[in-house]
Amino acid sequence: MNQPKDPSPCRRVQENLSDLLAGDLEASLTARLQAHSSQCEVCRASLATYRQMLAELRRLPLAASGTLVWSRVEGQLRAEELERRRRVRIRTLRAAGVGAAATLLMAVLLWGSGPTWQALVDHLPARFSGWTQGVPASVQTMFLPLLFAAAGGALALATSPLLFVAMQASALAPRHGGRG
Amino acid sequence: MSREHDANLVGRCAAGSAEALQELYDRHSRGLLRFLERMLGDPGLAEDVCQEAFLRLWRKANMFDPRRGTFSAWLYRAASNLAFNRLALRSSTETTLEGGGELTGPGSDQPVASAHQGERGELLHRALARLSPGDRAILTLRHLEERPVAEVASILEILEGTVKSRVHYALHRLRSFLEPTLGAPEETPE
Repeated sequence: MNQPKDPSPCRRVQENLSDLLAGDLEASLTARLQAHSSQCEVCRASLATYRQMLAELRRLPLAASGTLVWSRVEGQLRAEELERRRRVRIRTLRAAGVGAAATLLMAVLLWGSGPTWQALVDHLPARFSGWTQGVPASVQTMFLPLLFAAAGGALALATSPLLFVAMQASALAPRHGGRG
Repeated sequence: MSREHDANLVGRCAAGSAEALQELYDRHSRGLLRFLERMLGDPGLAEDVCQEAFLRLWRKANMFDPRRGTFSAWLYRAASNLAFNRLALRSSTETTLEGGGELTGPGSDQPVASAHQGERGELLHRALARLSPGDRAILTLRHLEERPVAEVASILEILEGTVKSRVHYALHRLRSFLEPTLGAPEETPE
């Protein structure tokens, strides 16, 4: 093996080895190092060895499957989407339940301590007094709670489809993209 | 153009487009899997980490800022962090990939393509397996994926000087493992 007379160019090749192999050195330095390598058997052999090693590593067959990974990603996204829909459904039902319970509670409170039928009749103008006659006593007792419950029920009936559609739309639209 | 297209796809992904995610997957998964398999030395683990990286992308796409670097670097950074976490988890229960001892190449515990490619491929896998995961990541990104030093530093969140010194060390170490099979041995210049 020939020993170079001046070791510094050899050292420079070694110091810049990675960038030289990657072709990332500036042109003038690359030219100098290549000129040296063409004269120096040690550096020439060294560079050839590294190039061969990297070329073999690049050609190394790999076993991981991209198709398999994507099918797993899709499966996971689908599972997360189903879980999200389930949570939205639970939230919707919970909100409806809380609303119904509040309506019931108000009805019960009015039953016990709310304004009575008689108080209502007393406040009505005289021209309406004829309308209030003949109303059964049971209805008179339960008038306000019944009125409140009927109004609450009507309101719930009117708004629940809208509420349901709105919640479903807001839950499904942003994260649903084109996924099935 | 490609960079802008990636940024656009990530934006669509953040808005919930699964098609955008699939396109990003088609554009980047092959390279990422290749990097992860070389870094981890285990195709199964590489697939797991790749899957996790794309799910993370789906969930956190809104955190990508194109002014701070390319999408590819962002994705590779997330994936390499996940890979290091997996290795740390694994090393607490199994023998670490680092250190001398018994070699733990990809062919040692499961059938992989390399096993069918003859002794040469097996030898290369084993030589890679003797480097630390960090050095394998640096060597792979710098010389097999051919990325610039600055990008490798950004992906692995280390200094550029560290990339240069570690890639230099990894090249020498790899060569010392493979030297007897690579041709005529040579003298190290003074």
